Amino acid sequence: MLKILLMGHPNVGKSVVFNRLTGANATESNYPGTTVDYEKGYVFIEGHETEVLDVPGTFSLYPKDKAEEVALKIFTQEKDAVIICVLDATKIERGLYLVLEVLERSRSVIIALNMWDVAKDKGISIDHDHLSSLLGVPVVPTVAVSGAGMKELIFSIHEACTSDVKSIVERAMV
Amino acid sequence: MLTEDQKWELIDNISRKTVRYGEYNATIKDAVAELTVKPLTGIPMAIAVLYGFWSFFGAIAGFFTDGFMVKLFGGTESFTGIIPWFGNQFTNHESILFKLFIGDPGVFTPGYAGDICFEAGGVFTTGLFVALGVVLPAIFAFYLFMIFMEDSGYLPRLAVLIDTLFHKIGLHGFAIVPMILSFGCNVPAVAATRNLETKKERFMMMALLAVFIPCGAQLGVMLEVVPGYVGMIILYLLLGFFVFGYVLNKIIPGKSPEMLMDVPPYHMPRWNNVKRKLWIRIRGFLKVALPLVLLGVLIVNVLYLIGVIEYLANTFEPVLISWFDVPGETVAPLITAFMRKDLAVAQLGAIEMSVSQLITSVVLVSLYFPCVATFAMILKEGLQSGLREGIVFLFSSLVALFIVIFAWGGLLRWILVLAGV
Amino acid sequence: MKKLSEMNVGEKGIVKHISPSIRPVVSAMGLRLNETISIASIQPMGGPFVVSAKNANISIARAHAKNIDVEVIC
Repeated sequence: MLKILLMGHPNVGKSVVFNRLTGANATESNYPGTTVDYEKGYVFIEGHETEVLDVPGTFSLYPKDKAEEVALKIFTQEKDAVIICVLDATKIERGLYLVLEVLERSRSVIIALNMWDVAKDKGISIDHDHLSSLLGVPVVPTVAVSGAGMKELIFSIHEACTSDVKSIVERAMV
Repeated sequence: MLTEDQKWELIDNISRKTVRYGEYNATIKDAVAELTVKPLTGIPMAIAVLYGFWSFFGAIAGFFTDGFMVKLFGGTESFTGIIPWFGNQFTNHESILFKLFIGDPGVFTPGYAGDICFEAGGVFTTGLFVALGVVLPAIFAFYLFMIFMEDSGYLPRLAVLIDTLFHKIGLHGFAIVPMILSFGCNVPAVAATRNLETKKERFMMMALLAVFIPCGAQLGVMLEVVPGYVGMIILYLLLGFFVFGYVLNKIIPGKSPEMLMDVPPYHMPRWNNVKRKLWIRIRGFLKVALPLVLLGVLIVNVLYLIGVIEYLANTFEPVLISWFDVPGETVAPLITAFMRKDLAVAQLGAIEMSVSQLITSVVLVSLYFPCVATFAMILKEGLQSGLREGIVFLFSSLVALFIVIFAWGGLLRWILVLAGV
Repeated sequence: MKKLSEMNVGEKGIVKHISPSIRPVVSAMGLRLNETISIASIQPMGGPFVVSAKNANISIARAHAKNIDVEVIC
C-alpha cells in the first residue's frame, strides 16, 4: 500500500498542499501548527485511497529542535513512503538542500515547487523542466492557496522516483 | 554522501542553470514586514496588536453573551428564557433532583430580582449557560484571532520582539506560542510546550502558565462577573508570571536555549484554513469542556446538599479570612476550580462580597490548582520523561504552587487596601 | 572582518566563517558561507538579530551571532 509523506521547510504552504490533497477527510492533530503532532489524510490516486502524512516542517534531516526530531522520526519509520518535497519557489536553494538530503537516503521523491505565483511577483523565474532533468525527479509548480498545479501534482505522484546524487553531480557540474 | 560544502556547491550550480533572479522592487508588504520586527516600530505595534486582540475578545464575547445568550437563558419581558422555562416544568421545587439539575428553588420564585443565569446553580441551568452562553463565545473569539496571527505570519515576529524579555527569565521568544495559546486553554498550551527545547524551559513554562495564565473560558466569565477589573487582574497575573519566572530561572538548574528561527513573509490567511482550524478547536472544546462543566456543577451541588462544602468552609474560613480577606463561602468555588475555572468564577459572582474581596477571590481561583484537564495533561507530559522525574516534577510544582498562592494571593489583598479599592 | 554580533542595522556583508557547532543548522536555513547578508533588525538589551539572506529572514540569538564572521561590504 502506497503512502505519501509531505515534507518541507516550515511556512512553505505545506499544510495548504495537504488540505488540497486530502480535502475534508483528514484526521486532525489536536492543534495544528502549534504542537508537534502531525496530520493524516487520504487522497485518491488512480482509484486507490492513499494515505498522506503531513510531516512537521523541517530544514534538514539533522534536527535542531523538537518538531524537526519528530519529522526525522516519521521519515525514518516510513521507509517505503513516497516523499513530496514542498519547496518555497522564492527560496529554492535552501529547499534543495533538504531535497538532496532526502535523495541521498534513496527515497522516491517528487517536488512541489510551491508559491510559484509569489516567485513570479518577485521576478524569479525557474526553468522547472530543466530542474527536473538535472535532479532526475519530477518537479511540479504549484500555487496551493489557489489550487493551481494540484491536479498535475496528483497525476505525477506515480512518477516519483529515486535519483542517484552522483549522477546529479555529473549532470549539474558540467 | 556529499559533504555539506559539496551539497551547497551542487545547489549553486543547479540554481545557476535553472533560476533567474530579476529586478525586484520592495512592496508595501515588505515594508510592513520590516517595520513589525524593528524594535522602535515593532514593539508599539505589538502592544497595539495585543490590545486589539483583547478588545476584539471583549467585544465579540460581550456581543454574544450579553446581547444574546443572557436573554436566551434568562428571558426578557416578552420571552420566558430557557432557565425559567426549566423551572416551570417542575411542580415540586424542593426535590433533590430539582436542586441538583435545575437549581436553588428561591431563584424560581416569582419576582426574583437577582441574576438568574448565574444564581440558579443547576446542571441544566447555570451549567449550560456558563458552557454555551459565556464560554463558547469567548473561545470562538479567542481562537479566531489566534488563528489569524498564526496564519498571517505575525506570531514569529512577536516571538522575535519578546525574546529579549523572555531571555531574562530563561525562556526564549518562541515560548510566546504556548503563552498566548494558554489564554485560550491551558491544555493545548501544555502540549505546545513540547516545542520548547530544554527540559528547564518546558518545566518553567508549564508551571508558569498553569498558575498565572487565566484561560479564555475563565476570562469570558470574568468579563461578566468583574467587568472593569479584568485588565488589572491580567496585569497582576502577568507581573506574577515574570516575577516567579525570574525566581524559577535562578533556582532551576539547566540551560536556557538561544533563539534560531525562520521569520516567514506575511501571508493573507486563507478563509478555508481559518474555518477548518477554528472548527477543530471549537469541537475539541465542546467535547472536553462541556461534559466537565456539567459534571462540575453536579459534583459541587451534591457536596452542598450533603454538607461537605459547609464543613470545608468552616474549616478553611480562618485562613481565607485572615490571610486573603475573602469569605469562607469561597471554598465552594475553589473546589469547583479544580473541575472548571470558568465555572468557579461564575460561582464567585453569586456570593455576597465586597469588590476587593471579589477581585482577590477571582485572582485566587486563577492562581489556585490547575483545572483537572490541565492537571491531567501536565501529569501526562511529566510522566513521559520517566516516573522518577515525573514525581520530582509534580512535587516541585506543588511546592511552587503553594508558595505562589500564599505569596502572590496574599500580597494582592494589601495592594488593594493601599489602592483603596 | 567582524563578528555578526558586532554589525549594525542596515549593514551588508559576506559570511566568511561559521563555527562548526551551529554551521549545519544555520546553513540549512539559508545563512551560509559566501552568502551576502544584511541586518534587518537588532532587538535592544541583548536581544536577537534578524538577518536577511536571499529572500529569507532568520532570527538568531546574539550568542549564536558571535560564532559567525562577516566581511562587511557596505
